[in-house]
Amino acid sequence: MIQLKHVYKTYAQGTHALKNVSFEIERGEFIFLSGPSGAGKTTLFKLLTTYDMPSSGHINVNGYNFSGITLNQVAEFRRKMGIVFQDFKLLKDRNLLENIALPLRVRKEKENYIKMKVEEILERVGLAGKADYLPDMLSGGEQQRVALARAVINNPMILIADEPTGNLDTETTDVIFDLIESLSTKGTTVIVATHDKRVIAERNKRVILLKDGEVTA
Amino acid sequence: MNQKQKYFIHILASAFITFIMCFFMSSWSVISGFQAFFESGQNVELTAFVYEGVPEEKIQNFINTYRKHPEVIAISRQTAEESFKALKAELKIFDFQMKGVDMEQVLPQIITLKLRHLDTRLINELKLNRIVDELLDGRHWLQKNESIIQVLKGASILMAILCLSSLVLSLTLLIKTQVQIEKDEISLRAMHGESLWSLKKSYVIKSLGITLFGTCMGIILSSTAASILQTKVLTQFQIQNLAEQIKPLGPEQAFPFIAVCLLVGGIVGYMQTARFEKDFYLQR
Repeated sequence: MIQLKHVYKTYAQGTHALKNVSFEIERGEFIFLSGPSGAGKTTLFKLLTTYDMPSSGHINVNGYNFSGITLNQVAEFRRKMGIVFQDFKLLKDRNLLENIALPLRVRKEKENYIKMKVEEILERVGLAGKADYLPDMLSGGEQQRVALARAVINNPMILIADEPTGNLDTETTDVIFDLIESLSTKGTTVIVATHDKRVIAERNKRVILLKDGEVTA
Repeated sequence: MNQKQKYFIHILASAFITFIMCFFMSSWSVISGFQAFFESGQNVELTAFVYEGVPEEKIQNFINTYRKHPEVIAISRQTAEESFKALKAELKIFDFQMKGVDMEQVLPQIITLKLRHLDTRLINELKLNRIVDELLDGRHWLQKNESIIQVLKGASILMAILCLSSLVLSLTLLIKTQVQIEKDEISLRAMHGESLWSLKKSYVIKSLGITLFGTCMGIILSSTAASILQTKVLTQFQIQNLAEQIKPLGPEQAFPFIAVCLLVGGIVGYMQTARFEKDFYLQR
């Protein structure tokens, strides 16, 4: 599903963000990506989400070879992917329906289908009946659930979450991780970046540990 | 930024572009009118000096011949005595005879021909006519009008450049601001797989729509302004000749102008989205 072979990323200033990174992730697998700040987690996410290209090495995700990927393929690939950020990246002037419906609107789905899917996903993340709310009317945990709902509404092949619970309390963190885990059981490959040792220990999943741009475990 | 604010910005931008289009195109109409007015040469007067010794019969012949000429609107004749009086009044010279010379005898008669157009063939013909000893003023007027026409042509070109520059500037500001404001949304759309062209397209269409609206409104308003100027102002002040020349932009000028503006608007919209690939897709 996801295959990285001898991936290097060196920035113009000569900083080596990633050095000889190689690993494989199977379809439907749940992976924790951990490591201290500056270890290269964000760079790796940028590469996996096609925002950046490796300086050398090969990345292959679900048949998409990133070395010669075209812009159309990038768009096509991203439609099969869901991303969750630490700061949620919700549009503050749009209600929850508009925020969650965004991936479906990109795919030009019909309005009735969009409404039906949004209501369904809101119920799954425990926010039923709040489609008209603006993001600022919700708590941090609820906002992250909205971000998660937006990421999974189009049943992605891969879900990438960058520190999704970085700003949340323990109880909310568990709710979010339960939701993420429930998604991975339906065939979605999940990669979560976190340095929350408690969560990693409790969930008992495979961990890829990064340090100074290298995979150490 | 909510939808209402977005609509407000679009309306404001369209109104602004309408205003500058209207302003420049009205000026353009007026300048073109003046240009046509001077090109038509309706105020061109040629002054021929007829010195003493030319028989009266020949002078009358000359007047009768050119009075019938299609390019000549009017011919007036000023005798030496009249021209002396006019000169005396104008220059306030009272001592013509003080030096023992009778200036009234020296001064020529003046025949003034008012021409419809700047007709160089007619001017050459007049010059060749032996009755006319000098045609200095005619040459002077011709050159003067040509200079004015050149200035007006330059002004027309300048107006067109200013008009398009203002369009480029205001559209650039609008689209740039909008892209900046909507950066988060663009980023999210790109992240969820919207194609690069689809993202660019919305701004190009927006740019074209505002340009089309502003240009059409500008043409309608400037035509109205030119029409009011023509029918009310100039006619009221009895500047009929000029009023006839100030014409609102017709379809033959308006359509190419709209086409050029749309091309410029489309290019501006596209240029403002040039960084989308690097910012939201691949940093190769």
